[in-house]
Amino acid sequence: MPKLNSIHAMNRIQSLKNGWNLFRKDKLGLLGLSILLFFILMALFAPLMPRLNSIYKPMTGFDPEVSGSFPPSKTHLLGTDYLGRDILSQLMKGAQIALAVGLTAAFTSVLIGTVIGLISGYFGRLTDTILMRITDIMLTLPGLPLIIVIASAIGKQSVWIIVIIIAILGWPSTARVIRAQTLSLRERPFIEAAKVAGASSPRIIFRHITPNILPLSFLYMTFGVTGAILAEAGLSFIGLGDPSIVSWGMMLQWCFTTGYTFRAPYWVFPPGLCLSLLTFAFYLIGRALDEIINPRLRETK
Amino acid sequence: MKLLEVQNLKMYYQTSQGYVKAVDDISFQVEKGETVGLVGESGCGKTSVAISILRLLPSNGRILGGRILFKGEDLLEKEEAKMRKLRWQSISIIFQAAMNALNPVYRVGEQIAEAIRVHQALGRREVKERVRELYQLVGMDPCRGRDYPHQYSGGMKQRAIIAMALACNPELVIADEPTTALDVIVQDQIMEELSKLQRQLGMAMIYISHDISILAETCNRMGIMYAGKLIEYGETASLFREPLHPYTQSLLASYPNLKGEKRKLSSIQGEPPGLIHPPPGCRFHPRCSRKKTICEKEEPGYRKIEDNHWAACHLLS
Amino acid sequence: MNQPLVKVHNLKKYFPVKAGFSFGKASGYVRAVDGVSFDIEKGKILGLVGESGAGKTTCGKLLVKLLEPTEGKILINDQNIEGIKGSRLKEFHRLVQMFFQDPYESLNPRFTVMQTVAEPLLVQGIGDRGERETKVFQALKSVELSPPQHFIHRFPHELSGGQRQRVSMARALIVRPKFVVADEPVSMLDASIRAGLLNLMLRLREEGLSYLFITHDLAVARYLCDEIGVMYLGKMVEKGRTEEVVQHAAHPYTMALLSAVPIPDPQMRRDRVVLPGEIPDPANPPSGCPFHPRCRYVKKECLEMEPKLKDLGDDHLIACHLVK
Repeated sequence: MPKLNSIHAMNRIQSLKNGWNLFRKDKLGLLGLSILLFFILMALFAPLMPRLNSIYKPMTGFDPEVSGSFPPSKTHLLGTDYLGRDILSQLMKGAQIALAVGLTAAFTSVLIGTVIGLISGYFGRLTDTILMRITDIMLTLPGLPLIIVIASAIGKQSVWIIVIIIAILGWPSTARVIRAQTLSLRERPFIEAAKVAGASSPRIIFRHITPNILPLSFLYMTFGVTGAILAEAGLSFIGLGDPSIVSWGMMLQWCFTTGYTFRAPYWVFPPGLCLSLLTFAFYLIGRALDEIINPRLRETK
Repeated sequence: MKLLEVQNLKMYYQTSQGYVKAVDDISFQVEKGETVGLVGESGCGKTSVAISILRLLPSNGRILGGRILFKGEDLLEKEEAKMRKLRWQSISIIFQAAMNALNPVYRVGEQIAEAIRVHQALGRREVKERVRELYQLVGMDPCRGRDYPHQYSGGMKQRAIIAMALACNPELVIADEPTTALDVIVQDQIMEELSKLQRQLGMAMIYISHDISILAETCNRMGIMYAGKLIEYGETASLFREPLHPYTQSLLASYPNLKGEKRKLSSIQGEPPGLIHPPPGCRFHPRCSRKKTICEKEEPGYRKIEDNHWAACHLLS
Repeated sequence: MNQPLVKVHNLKKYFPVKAGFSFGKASGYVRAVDGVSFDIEKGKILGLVGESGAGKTTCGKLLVKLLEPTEGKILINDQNIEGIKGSRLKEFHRLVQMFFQDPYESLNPRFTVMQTVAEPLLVQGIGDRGERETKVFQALKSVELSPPQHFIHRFPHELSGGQRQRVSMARALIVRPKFVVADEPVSMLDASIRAGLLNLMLRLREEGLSYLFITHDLAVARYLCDEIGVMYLGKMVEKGRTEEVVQHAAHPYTMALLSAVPIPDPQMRRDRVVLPGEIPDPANPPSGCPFHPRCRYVKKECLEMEPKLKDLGDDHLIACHLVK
C-alpha cells in the first residue's frame, strides 16, 4: 500500500506531465522555451569567459591591444566597447543579471500579490476593503516616474534596491486576480466541506485554496518577469542603474552616453536584441501557460 | 401518417481516444400530433439523438449511418440551406438549460421577434402582433416582452423559450429536459402548459428526459435508451404495465412513489459503461442480474411482444 | 421517551441586503429562516421539503455552523452550539457532519480520494498515518466503494457522479458523527444510482445515525424520512409523521406540492392543483400568511394575521387559518 507522501508525489508528477503534454503542442510556447533556454545557457557560461582570458572580464577586462570601440574581430567576436572591453562577455554577464533581476522581482511581487489576494479574498469584509483600497492606490500610481523618483531618492544605486522597487510596484495586479479567484473558490462546496471537517482558516487557505490558484500565480509570474526586465533596463538606460554591474540596460547607456549609438551597430544591437528576445520568450511561455490554465481558451481552438 | 421516422441511426463523436458510440443503430417513429418520450440516464445518448435529427452536430460529431425521414424526405440528404429553413419552421427544439439561452443584453420580446424575423418574411407590425400572441399562448403578460432576461424568474424564462420554439408553428417540437433546473411546482406548471399547447396546436413532440415519472403522464409512447442503444420502445401504458427489458424493470423499481404502498427501492449495480469501448453483446449485461452466456457474446435483436411494444433482450426469446 | 438528539428552537437567519450606495448599511433583510423549531431523535430522519428559496439549505448550514443564526437556539446532544469556537468547534464537527448536493463541486479537484477522506482525521488529529489509512479503508467500505484500494489513488474527475457522492459521504462519516445534515445529496444523480444511495443512508440510520434530510422531492422524502417538515418562505408551514403528511396534508401549500409531483405510473391519475405564480421575493414577503397570494382558499384573516403552528393531534403541526 503506497504511503500518503508518495501519493502526493504521484499527484504532482501526473499533473506536471499532463501540463507538459499540452504545452508541447503549442509551437510558439516551445519557441519561447527554447529562447529562454538559450539565455539560461548564456548566463551559465558567463563565468567561464574571464577564466579563458582576463581580457574577457566584463567590467574590468581591458584588452591592452585595443583602446576604444572596435568592430568584431577574432579575439572579440562581437567587438569591444569604448574602453576596449569585450561585448560578448558583457552580453553573457547581462543575461545573468537580466534573469536574476527578472525572476527575483517577479517572484517577490507575485508572492506578495498572492498572499494579499488570498487573505483579502478569503476573509472578506473589513480586511478585504482595507487591502483592496491599498491595492487600488498602488495600481493607480504612475509606475515608471515613481521608480525614477524612488531610485534617485535612495541615491545608493544597487540592483537589489531596483528589484525591491519593481516588486513593490508589481504586486497589485496579481493581488486583484488572485483575490477574484479566491472569492469564487471560497464559495465552492469543497471549501465548505473542509470547514465542516473542522479545518482552520490557515489550513483552508494554504491546503485547499492555494493549490488551486498556484498555476495562476505562476502565470502572472511569467508575465511579471517581462515587466521587471524592461523596468531594470529602462532605469539603467536613463542612468539610474547600478554602475557596478553589467546589465544590458547599462550597456545601452554606455553606448548612448559615449555617443556611439549611431556609429557602432555591433555595440548597440546585441543588448537591444537580447532584451527583446528574452522578454518575448517569457511572453510566449506565459501565453502558452495561459492556455493550459484557462481551459476556456483551449476549447475554442 | 408518419411524421418522423428514424431508421438505424448511428452517430459517433470522434475523440483522441477513439469513437464515442453515442447513438448506435436506433430506430423509432413519431406519428403526427403524437408525443414520444426518450428516457435514459445521463450519457446514454438521448441528447445526441435530438441534435442528429436537427443536424446540429458539434464539430466532432459524425452521422455514420441510417436515415431520418421527415414527412418521407431524408433529412440527412438535404442541403444545409434547406435544412436551415426546415429547422425552426418545421422542427424546433427546446434545449436543456434553456434559461441560459436568452441573451442578457436584449429585451426578451425582441429576441423572440428576431427568431420570427429570421424565418418568416413578416412586416414589423405583424411580427409585433405575433410576439404578443405567443406571450399569451404560453400564459404570460405580453407587456413583459419589454423586460430583460434577468427580470424573469426561471419558470418565465422557460416559457419565453417555449414561445420562441413555437414562433413558426412547427410540426415537431423536441424538448430536451425542458424542466430539469426547475422546482417541482414550476416544473408541473410548465409540463401542464406544454400539454395544453400541444392539444391546442396539434404538433408532435419528442420529450427527452432522465426522469421517467415526468414522461409517464405526458407521452403516448416511450423509448428507453441505455448506452447508445434503444433497448425498449412501446405504448406508455403497456411499457409500465409490463416492462420487458431488465433495465426498464430495474429503472422503474428505482423510483420512489408518493401514492400507493411504500416499497423498497432497488438500485442497479455498477455504473453505465463508457461508450468508447462499450461491452460486447448486450450493453447492459455487466449490470444485469439475469444475464446468460449469450448476453456477453451476441447483441440481442428486437423482439416484438405486442403491437408497438418491443425490446432488445435475449431473455425474451 | 427518547431524548431528542437535535433540538432547534425559534431559529432565525436574516441576511442583510445592500442596495445601491448604502455604505455598510443594510437597506433590508432577507428572512431566509424565520422562526423554525423542530426536534430530531436519535436514529430518525427529518425531511425538510420546499421549493428553492424556502430556506431549507440555510437551515442546514446553521445546524453545521457554516452560518451563525440571527436568533434562536440549537441544542445538539444537549449542548448549546451558539458561539462555540476553536477546539470545541472541532469537537462539534466530530458530532455533526454534512452531505453536500453537488458531487462535482464538493470534492477538492486536486485531492485524491485518500487525501479527501483522510482530511477530517488530519484536521482533528486522529490517529497516526497507519490508523488513518485503516479508517479510510473502513469508511470507503461502509459507503460501498469496494475494493477501497481501487479508489484511493483516484482523483474526482476519474470517478462517476455516484462514486463521488459516496466519497463525499465517506469523508463525512469517517469521524463517526451522530448527526448528519444531508443537503439534497441525491438530487443530481440518476434514478438507478439515487436508489442505491438512499438505501445506503437508510442502512446507516439503522446503525444509529440521525439526519436532517433536505430535499425538494417529496417522493424521495417519503421513502427516506420518519418525519417531514414543509417550509415556505423561511417558515415551517406543516410538520408531522411522513405518512400523515403525505396522506392527510392539511396545508394548501403542502397539498399543491404533493399534487405537483409526477407519478411514475400512467395508471394513477393525480388530481392536479396547479399552483399559480412563483415563490415571492423573500426580501419582501407578503403580509399575514406568507402563502396567501397563491392560496385558493384565502380569507380576509390570512392577509392580516400570520397563522401560528397548531397541533392537529398526533404531532401533526400546521400553520393555517383554515384549520381550527
